[in-house]
Parts: sequence; structure tokens; C-alpha cells
Amino acid sequence: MEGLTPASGQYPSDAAAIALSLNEPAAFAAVFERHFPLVHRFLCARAGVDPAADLASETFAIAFRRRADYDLGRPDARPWLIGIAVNLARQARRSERRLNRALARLAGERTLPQESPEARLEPRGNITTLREVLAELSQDDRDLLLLFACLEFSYEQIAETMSLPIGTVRSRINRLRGKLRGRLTGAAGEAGV
Amino acid sequence: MSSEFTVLREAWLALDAPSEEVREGARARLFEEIASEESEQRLGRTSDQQVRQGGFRRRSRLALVVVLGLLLVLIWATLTLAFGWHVIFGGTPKVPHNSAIYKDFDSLDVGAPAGMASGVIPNETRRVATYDGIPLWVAPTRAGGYCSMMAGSGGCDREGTVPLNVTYMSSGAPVGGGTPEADLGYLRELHGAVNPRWSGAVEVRFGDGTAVRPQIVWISKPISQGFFYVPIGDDHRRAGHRLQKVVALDADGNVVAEDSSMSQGQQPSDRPPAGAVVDKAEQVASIETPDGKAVLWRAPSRFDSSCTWLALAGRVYGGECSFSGYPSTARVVLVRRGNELLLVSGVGFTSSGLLTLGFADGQQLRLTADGEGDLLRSLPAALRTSGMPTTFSAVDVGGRKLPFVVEAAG
Repeated sequence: MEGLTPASGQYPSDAAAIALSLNEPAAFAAVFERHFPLVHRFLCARAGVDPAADLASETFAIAFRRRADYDLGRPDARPWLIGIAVNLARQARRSERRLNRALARLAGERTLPQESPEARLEPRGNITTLREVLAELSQDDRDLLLLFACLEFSYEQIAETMSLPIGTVRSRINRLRGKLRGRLTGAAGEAGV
Repeated sequence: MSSEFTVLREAWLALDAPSEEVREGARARLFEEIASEESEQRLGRTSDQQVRQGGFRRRSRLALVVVLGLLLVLIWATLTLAFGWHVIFGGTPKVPHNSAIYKDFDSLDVGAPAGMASGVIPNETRRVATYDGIPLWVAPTRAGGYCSMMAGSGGCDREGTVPLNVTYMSSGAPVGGGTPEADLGYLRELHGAVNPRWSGAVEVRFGDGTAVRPQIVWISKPISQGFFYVPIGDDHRRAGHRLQKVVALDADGNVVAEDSSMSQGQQPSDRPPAGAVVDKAEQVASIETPDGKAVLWRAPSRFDSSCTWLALAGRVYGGECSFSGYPSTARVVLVRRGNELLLVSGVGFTSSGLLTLGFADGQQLRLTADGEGDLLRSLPAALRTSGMPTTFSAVDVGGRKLPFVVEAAG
């Protein structure tokens, strides 16, 4: 594998690395090196620490196979990568639910208690707050919140990632802001922030 | 970032970065993909080819979709050209209750004699086609048939068992005001319906040998009929060029039903009714007349019913087929030769029903139907020149009046 890991700063943009990787597949490694930590961190918050490693790995494998579809007019590949990660997390969640229901049927129980991904975050400091806040939200709002508050994506990037109209993104973020204002400012006070 | 989200951002940043072990595992997974692709490249497939092939596959899929779409359009167009336009009845909007057409259909059965109501369901009235800016309205009936109306004229096939139903629209002179042929000089248009159980096309035939096959608008269940409309141009209102008949054709082009009522009136024909299965015809009765042997025939029809006709000297009188689901009405056919009344036939009466004809000179002729309700009699010489009967009545063996229709030809 030596020689297959160009430095992430070798290419001026993700689009340039992806464009080159169409002829030289190894060039895609620059995208991995540049964004793996972000994607992994997102998936930790979104799906939990345990599944995050596999999901992040799968995200880049899928991105590599689909790179011919990438819009080379977009220099920043993060919305595209996170979009793949969101879909994988949702699939994983559905699979987990189906598995739980199947196990419940086998066990003759109604449903096995599910540990939410947020509950699997390490309860350390503000992370507890993050876990609690995410647990209160719908799946879509959870994704929006992570993209906006944690990844600091722009409205346009969120719209691209979530395949939503930008107006919808704005209104949902505003609604989330109002919803969380009291909740988070209170938590911030307790946490000494 | 607004303060609402600051806490979250900080919590996010506090999350552990992926361990080197996790990162290395993911990197190895990606490099497997990369190595696999490079291996394929070494076997002769360049990435560029793959990308092009990926694009080709996408383009191929797109082309396939386009081709399939075009194929469907072609099939639809072919079917439309060959068999007419198809309309899903339930897919068209119902007319509102306050519309004039709804009220027309709603009042259709008001005061209808017992057994004569159409059973139309006005709530299901829909516009299924528009011809020359005039809408064709159709509503189903409770018995599985339909009623249609166009520009205030139309009709019903309550049972949905009539093979061909034609409505004629004239202007300038009342239909029936002159001879049938002369009336056709005022015919402006005709419209009607054909039953797809037996027919796939309609042909309008004119006296000059020309014919028109109108496009048929096939309406889905519960109507299950094909509707057509034919405007009659000036050329076909001139003597010698006027309408002869409207015929319904099966898939092989055979005439399965025809309507020549406008041109022929009650004139004799040269063949049995189109719906009759002539090969299976049976003689009902026969008599000798001055013009030769007259035979009353009955045959099964293609329409799950039966047909009757009277044959005399190579001509057919009173040919008629009944239709499934409709009560049969007795019919009397009077055959003339000049001013002489040659014979009387009757079908559809009750067993041993009594038909009485009254003449202007006061004479009466009483004729008793056979066990099947049919009769065929030549007139006594004394009555042949008494002119046409002026009164008709019929009763069953219990003395109850029987309804019937009279047709005179010759």
C-alpha cells in the first residue's frame, strides 16, 4: 500500500483529488485523510461510538465507488460524504430495529429495550448534554442539529447533504433554535459554560 | 454561532478523535477498494474506461428508459389508431350536482313506465369526450349499462347488451317529416356506442359507395362501450350520396350489427338481421301466399339472444334481434303488395294470445298465436283490399292486454 497515501494537502480541493482519482484511484486517499476524522466524529454523535468506526469506513468505501457521480463543481466534498454517512446511519438504525424485533419475536417478548445511539456516547461533561439533547429530537432534527451546530455546515451545505430545499433547512434550524434555547442555556449554566 | 448551539459545539469538539486503530482499519478498507480497481486497470480496463462505462451504463439505463417510454407511446398510438382512444371512466371527474347535465340524467326516469326506467346513476355522470366542442356525457346504469347524451340527444342501453346504438341529429326539418331518404338530406351528425363484446369498429356507409370509420373512444368499466361521432358533410346530404347504414364490425371485418333505420325505415331488406346466426335458423311457420311461400324464421343471435324475420320472395321483412336482459316486446309485421295486404306475422306474444285487427269498413280479423306466441297468416281475399288495418289490439288467454309494436312493409 505504500505510495497510495498522498498527503491530504496535496490537492487544492476535494474536487481536484476526486477528479484525479478517476484516472489514478489512489488520489482518493487524500479525501480520506482530510475528512475521516470529521465523518467518524459525526457518526459517533449520530449513531454511537461502537458503530461509528464501521460506518465511517463504509462511508469512504462507498464514496470511492461512487466518485464518478461526484459533482466536480463543488470543491468541498464534506456535504457529499456526510450525506452518505447519514444514509448509512439511518440504514443501520433500521437494521438494528428489525434485528431487535426479530429477537423479540424469538424470545417471545414484545420488544427488546433499545439503547439509543445517544445513550452510547460517553457521559463526560458536555457530552452528556449533547447526548440528552439529541435524544429528545427526531431523526431529521438530530441530523440538522449535528450538521449546523457541530459540523458548522452552512445552510447550503446542509441542503445539499440532506437533499432538502434551503428554505426548509432555514425554517427547521430556526424552529430548532427556539426549541432548544431554554434547554441548552439552562444546561450551559449548569455546566459552567 | 448563536449561543443556543455553543454548548453543543463544545460537546462535539470534546468527542474523541478516531483512534489510530480505527483510522488504520478504515484506511485499509478503502485501499482494498483502490487496489481492486487498480488491479482491474492492469488487466486492461482503465479507470477512465470504467468511468466512461459508468457513464455509459447510466446513459444506457437512460436510453433504455427512453426507448421503453417511446415503445409504450408507440403501442398506445398504434392501439389508438387501430382500436380508438381509451378512457378510464373513473379517472374523469364527475359532474357537479348543480350542473344541467346532472339534472338531465337525474330526471331521466321521472314518470317512466314500469319496467322502462333506465336505472341511470346521475351521480356518476362524466364527460368522456368532446366532439366539435360538444361534450359527450355518459353515466352508468344500475343494471350494468349506460346512458349517454350529447347536445341534448342520446339514449340508454340499460343492460349494456345492445351491440350498436345510434342517435341521429338533424337540423332544418323534423326527422320523419318526409320519406326516410329525404329526411337524410337534413342529417347533420350521428353519434352512438358500440359494444366491445362483439365489435371493434364502426363504419358509416353512404349511398355513393363511400364509407367512414370513425375513431372510437373506448370507455372502461363500468361503461364498457366504445363511443363514436360522425359529422355529416354537405356532400353526404345530396340525393344519391346520403347515409345508408351504420354497421358494427368484428375483428375480421364482418358486420355483426347494423342500423339502417334512418334510410330504410320499415322497408324490407335483402338479408336476415346482421346479428342472426343464420346457420342455426329454424322455421317457425310458413304459409303460401300469392307471391310464394312465406317463412317465419327464428335463429340464435351473436348477442346471447335470438333473432326473427319473415322471408318472402327473396326479401326479408321485420328482421329483428332481441337483446339479453330486455323483456321481449311482441311485434306485428304487415306485408303489403301495392294496396293489398298480403299477410300478417307476429312474434313474441304469449301462448295462444289473441291479436285483433280492425279495418275501416268495420270488418275484424282475429288471429290466435301458437303455443310459442308466434303467428303467420295470409289474409282472406275479402280483406286483402280493405286497406290497412285501422285498429290493433292483443290480449292473452286471460284477457289481459298485451303490448306490441306494428311494422308495415312492402
